[in-house]
Amino acid sequence: MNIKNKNRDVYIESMSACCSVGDSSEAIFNATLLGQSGVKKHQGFLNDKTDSAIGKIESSRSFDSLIIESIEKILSESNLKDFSTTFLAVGTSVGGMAWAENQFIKDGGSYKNIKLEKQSIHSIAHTIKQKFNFKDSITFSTACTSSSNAIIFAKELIEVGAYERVLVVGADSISYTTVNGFNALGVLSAEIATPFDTNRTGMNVAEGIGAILLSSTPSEIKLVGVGCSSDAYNITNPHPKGEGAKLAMQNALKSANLNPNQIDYINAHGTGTVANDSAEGKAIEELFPHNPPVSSTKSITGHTLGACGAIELIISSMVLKEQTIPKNFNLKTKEIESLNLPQKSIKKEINFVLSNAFAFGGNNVSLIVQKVYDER
Amino acid sequence: MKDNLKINLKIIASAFVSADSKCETLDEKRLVPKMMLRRRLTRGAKIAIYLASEVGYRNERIIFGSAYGEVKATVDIVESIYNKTLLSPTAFQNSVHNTPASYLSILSQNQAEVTTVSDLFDTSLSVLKTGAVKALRGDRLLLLNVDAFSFEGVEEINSCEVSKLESGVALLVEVTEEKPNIMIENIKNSEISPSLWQMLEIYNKSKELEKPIVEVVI
Repeated sequence: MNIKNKNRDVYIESMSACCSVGDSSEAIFNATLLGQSGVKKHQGFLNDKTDSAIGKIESSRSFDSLIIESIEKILSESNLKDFSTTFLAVGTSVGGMAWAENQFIKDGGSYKNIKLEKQSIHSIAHTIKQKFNFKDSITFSTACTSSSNAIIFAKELIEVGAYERVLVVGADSISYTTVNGFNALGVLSAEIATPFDTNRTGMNVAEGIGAILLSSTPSEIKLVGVGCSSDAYNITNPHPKGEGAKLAMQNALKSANLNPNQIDYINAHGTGTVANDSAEGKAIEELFPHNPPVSSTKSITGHTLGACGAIELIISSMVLKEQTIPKNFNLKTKEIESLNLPQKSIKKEINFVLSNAFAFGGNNVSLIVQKVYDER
Repeated sequence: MKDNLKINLKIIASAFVSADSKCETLDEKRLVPKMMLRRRLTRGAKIAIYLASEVGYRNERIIFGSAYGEVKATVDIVESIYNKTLLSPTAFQNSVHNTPASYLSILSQNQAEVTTVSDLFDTSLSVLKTGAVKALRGDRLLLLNVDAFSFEGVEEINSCEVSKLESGVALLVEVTEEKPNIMIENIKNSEISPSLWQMLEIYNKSKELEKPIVEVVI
């Protein structure tokens, strides 16, 4: 038996991302500053044949190849020879759903060729482990907080001394299920989303990959706080007053031993749906009286579902590296007047960034990263 | 090579349920008195709620595992896509892997952490490892592992020829420094999905012990 206290700090050693606006952390971050959205109108995803505005990666390579490339980048930027002593924590909400849909259609509505290792939630880890040798792995699947929960577990593994390094991979590809599913719920926009805008039209389903190598070795960015909560309210709608969102942020602040007024910027979940933006806005307004800048980067990346937690932690880390806050692209008329929603990017001193992710079932996660100046 | 971290979990209570096609004794009307909510529950959610009640769950943090997820909702969606018909919003909102644990948190007004893992045939082990690391905080945790995959066409994908299409295990646990008396041996059970084997093994061994303690190797 070996109970250890949480006595080790956790840092971001390396990170890599790919989504509709770029195939690197830098490219995606620059797109948020320049207001270059990867969300475009597509036909052929909705059963009713109408247009849907989605964030699809335009690439000749398969989604699986893009996952492998993201991890290869991480490996080349790290001091590791391989991942044989590293733990893999995957976060995905749909796993191999896109493959299964196509196979089912190809086979004329038959399940006979549906292979579990390619269809299931585990398929992402299966793909990764075909190429790389990890010591162990676990896949988290809590809808849109999947990779956020993977990050929490990664932090816990390092803190208790079980691992020196954990690679978190958040990945979700576009599927007919998610595009038609969000359309069925009446929240899919036919235009680029406008989170926190009075005239918002809904959210954009998107695909993306976010890979983060967390480590006990000091680096420029430290993961200082994690917090989660459950709304205990409704299977799809968040608590209208944002009680769950507020509790997750409070828990993250407690975990980081910070006061709310120490947060310099909040990367909001900000999906562009009335229910989410209103609940999250109220929670932020109540918890952060010093009114820090808040922006949603989903009008640039789209909502990458289970990958969004990892991708947005990467964007938050880029905010710390570049000391620049991305604007709320496409925002014209603020719904909550008192929220500080910058419409231009801001260059300023930023020490702590909080990033939110919320999911079906009222599953809420907040993560806090810190700029490190003198720990190397 | 660094030694693996070992964490001992005291099994405070355990429960198991299974059926060839549908578990009939889930005590739904008592456990979910509100009819509207009861009607929305998936099979996985009903099993999770029943098992939680059986182990005396009192709003602990929940670690939930499911290898196949919400199969019925997923099948409904895929067939809608194939047939180009409108998707059911209920099927979509119930299709994510954390649906059963979320319904349990809603029903019990539990605002604590809920997380869900899914690793195909290693799911049970993933629940145990995740739970063991999280248990180091010192609180009691509810570990749940449920798979319900009865649908028309299941024989096309049931390559393991599992006979029990619904099954679930619950363990109420807390970390202990006492010596373990259960070692996971990966005992097979041809009737039950391999995704539940390790937790089922712990359930079975716990029944024979006055004070069951399992060693989880991280």
